[in-house]
Amino acid sequence: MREQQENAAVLRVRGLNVDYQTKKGAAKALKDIDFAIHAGERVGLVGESGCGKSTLLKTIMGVLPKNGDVTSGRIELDGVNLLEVDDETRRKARWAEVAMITQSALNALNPVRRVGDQIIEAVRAHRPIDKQEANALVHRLFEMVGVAPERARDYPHQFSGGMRQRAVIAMALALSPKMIVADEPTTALDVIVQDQIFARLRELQAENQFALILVTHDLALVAENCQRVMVMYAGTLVESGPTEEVIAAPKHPYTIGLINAVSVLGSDKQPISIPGSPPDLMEKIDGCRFAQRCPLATSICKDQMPEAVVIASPGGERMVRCHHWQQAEDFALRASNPDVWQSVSAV
Amino acid sequence: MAVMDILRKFYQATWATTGGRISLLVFGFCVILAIVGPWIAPFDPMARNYDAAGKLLRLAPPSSEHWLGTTVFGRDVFSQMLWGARPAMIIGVLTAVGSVIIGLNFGLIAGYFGGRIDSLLMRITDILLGLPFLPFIIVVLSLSGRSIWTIVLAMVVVLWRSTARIVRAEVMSLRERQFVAAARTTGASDFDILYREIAPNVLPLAMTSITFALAWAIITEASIGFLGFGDPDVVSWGSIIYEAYASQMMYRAPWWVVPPGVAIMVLVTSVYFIGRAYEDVVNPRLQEGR
Amino acid sequence: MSSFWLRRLWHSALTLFTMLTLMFFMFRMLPGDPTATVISPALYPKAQEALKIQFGLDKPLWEQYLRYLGNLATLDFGLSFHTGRPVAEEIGGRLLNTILLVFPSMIAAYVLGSFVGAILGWKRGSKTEAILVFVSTALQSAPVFWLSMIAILFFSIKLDLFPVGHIVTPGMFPDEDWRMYFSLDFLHHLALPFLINTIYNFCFPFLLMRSSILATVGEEYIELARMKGLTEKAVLYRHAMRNSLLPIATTLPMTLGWAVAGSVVIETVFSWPGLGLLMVEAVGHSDFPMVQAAFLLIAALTVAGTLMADLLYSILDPRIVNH
Repeated sequence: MREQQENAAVLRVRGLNVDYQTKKGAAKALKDIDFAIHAGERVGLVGESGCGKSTLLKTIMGVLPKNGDVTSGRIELDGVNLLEVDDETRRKARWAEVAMITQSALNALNPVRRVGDQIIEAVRAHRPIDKQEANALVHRLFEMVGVAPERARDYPHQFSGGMRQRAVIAMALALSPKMIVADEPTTALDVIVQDQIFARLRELQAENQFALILVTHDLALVAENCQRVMVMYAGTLVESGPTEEVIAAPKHPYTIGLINAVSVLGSDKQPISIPGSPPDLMEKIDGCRFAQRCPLATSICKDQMPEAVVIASPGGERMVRCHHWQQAEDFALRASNPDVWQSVSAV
Repeated sequence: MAVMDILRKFYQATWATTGGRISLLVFGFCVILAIVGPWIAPFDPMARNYDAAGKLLRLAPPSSEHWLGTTVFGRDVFSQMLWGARPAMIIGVLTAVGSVIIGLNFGLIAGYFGGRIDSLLMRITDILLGLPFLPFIIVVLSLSGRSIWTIVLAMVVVLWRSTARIVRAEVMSLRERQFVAAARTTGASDFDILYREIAPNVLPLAMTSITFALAWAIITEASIGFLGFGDPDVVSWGSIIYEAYASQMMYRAPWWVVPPGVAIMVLVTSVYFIGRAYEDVVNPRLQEGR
Repeated sequence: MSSFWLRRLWHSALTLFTMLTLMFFMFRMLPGDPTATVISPALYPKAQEALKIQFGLDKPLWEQYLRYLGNLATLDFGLSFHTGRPVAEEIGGRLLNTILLVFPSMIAAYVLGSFVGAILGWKRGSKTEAILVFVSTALQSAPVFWLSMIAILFFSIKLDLFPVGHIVTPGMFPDEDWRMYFSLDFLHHLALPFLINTIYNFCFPFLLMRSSILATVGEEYIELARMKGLTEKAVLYRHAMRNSLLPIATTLPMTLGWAVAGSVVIETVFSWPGLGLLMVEAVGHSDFPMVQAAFLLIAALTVAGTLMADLLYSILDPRIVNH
């Protein structure tokens, strides 16, 4: 079973560390990231804004800004470390292997070029395609995502928000990649359009069997759409596992806090947010990055970064990075009391 | 006061970068030259110099006595250079300040009141846009006498329009902001809102146009001098080049023609870099770019 | 044609009309008598009168103005005070000479400036970039006539590579007719002023392109283009530069009119028989029908340039919808 999973991994990230060089020094944006994405799987990546989700995506896509440095680690796509290959191989791997659905479709589409042309351009960067074939492809892609094909000659500003998002999805599908990364794909849209787009995205995923990473701060979205979830905090992965299990029985205090912060419609449970804010990544942090805000924190948490603990579970395998994960069950019962969280900031 | 405040910030902003600092020093040096130049000049710039034998020193190459040699009329180039800083600086500064003050006020009024006043003023700037700059100044000079005041006036007439347009656009966006609405609810008059609330916010923009107008004015003054329409009683860097050109001897006497051009180039370059250093601070969009 | 363009055309026409009216009065209101040099006070009063009638100066101002408008409608710019020949005849060839000098060099400066600015802005922070920013600013800061003189001193006199001035070798084309424009001799004469004008005007498009490229570097569509697997070149040319082209392409037509006006000095140095040199000569002769016609031509050029800029903008930027 384990062997099989290893083989089927489309993307495997190992020991990834990324720094941003700034005038004031280096900011440790990503710290010891390890995970694997398997073929045809839907995985959610959850975390607050600024937790390093975007940096992780940019590193995978190979578009880190100039001040971003991968200090160590590997990003393996089908066993090939993307961080070691030459620029041309790297370029060819983009989009053909891993495509992306960007956060803001409005800014992601070039305003002065036709939508259809921008899609064909992605194809043409990887293989020659004649005009007729290109038009047919765009026609098919637009039908797949549910936009009238004749709109391909329009400019982005002539599209509605939902159509733009669909066009960006069409673009991601253009080369039938093994994996698609969707970065907060629907934050700018209203709930109804959001649901429609996710429904279509799930259908497309089922038909085309690409692996999907859904990056979001919205746990509910992950619960609805993903089989597995990875929780990120201040540049580290703190917990991962089958979505249902993680939500039903979270093992990391941060995940517990995150679940607590979600309001449930029709329930009298009050959402409570975690007091305090993520640590300044410019500072050197030896211990657990969540320690300052964690009610379970003890002296070991402040001094020593917890190792990733792998726990066997019915749905597959779970990972948690916490010294006190065994107290999680007990803590989860107390965690709905806001005072439990408040007491930490006083320490 | 707002103006002093802006000037202080202007100085701080430009002094903060190496390029800005060097440019400020160069510009400061030219200002000092403009003030003391005529006093420290070793010779009368218009006097003919003779050698020991009493022969006119025509096109003498640089020597210990005449550092930059002499002109075809035996005049000392170095002394002329020292005298030439003053008109460049006077004309440049007066034109820049004059055109920016006028442009600033027109821009404020057009942008704030809008409507007919705005379209009238904009029509005027459209017309000025089509006026050939240098030829227009030459015509004015040839018809109403060649003095540096006419030069300044003619340049101001044309140059204010660019400041007016920039300021107007900015005022139009500021007009809708909260602090203006707040001032209005307290019953402030239009004049108060315009000059106490809005004007301080567009002054930094006006400062960048001052530097660019200054650069323009200095070059134009030189061009006018070169075309032979300059004030005949004034030695300017442009007129030195004109004399060299008109004498047809310039190609035999580089010491005569090179220094004034270099001086203009160095001065104007410093002005451009001061303007840009300041613009980077006013408009930080350009420096970062992520 | 949409009503937007009709209104735009009407605006341009109005601007042009106001300009020519203003110019008519400007040349007659300015202190000093522009007719003094033509009609010498030393002449017999009778002769003075006859001349005044010949030039139409005996009529009241408003009648002169109406005649001026009527004449303009038939492209009749009157007679030159200096030569007595029709202004239109004298000015046509001169304008062509200026355009041949100015337009190609402006376009060269803009094309060159855009590409160099885009490439250096894209790389950002290179040594070449810093040096070129400095050098191009310094070259733009030098008076262009002085640059020309130094260039003549070096290339023409020291190295003997180019002629020192004129449009063709004097005497080679006695009639100076169209044939001269197709000669190598003409190109040889054009080369140095063309080069100087190109270098002199390089700075503005260069810096403009560089800064607008810098502004696009962080745009998401640039990042997406890169993620799509486009080559760096394709990202630069098809996305960054395509978008940064807008401000440059739209300033070029507007600058063309100004460049004609600015040709005054460069034509003087190179004795290039263009409109600029003509204006200087005409001002020297107080030949105001000539100057006035030249001004009008330049005004018409800038108005046309502004129109063209708007037209270009609407073509290049699909977001602009003109209603």
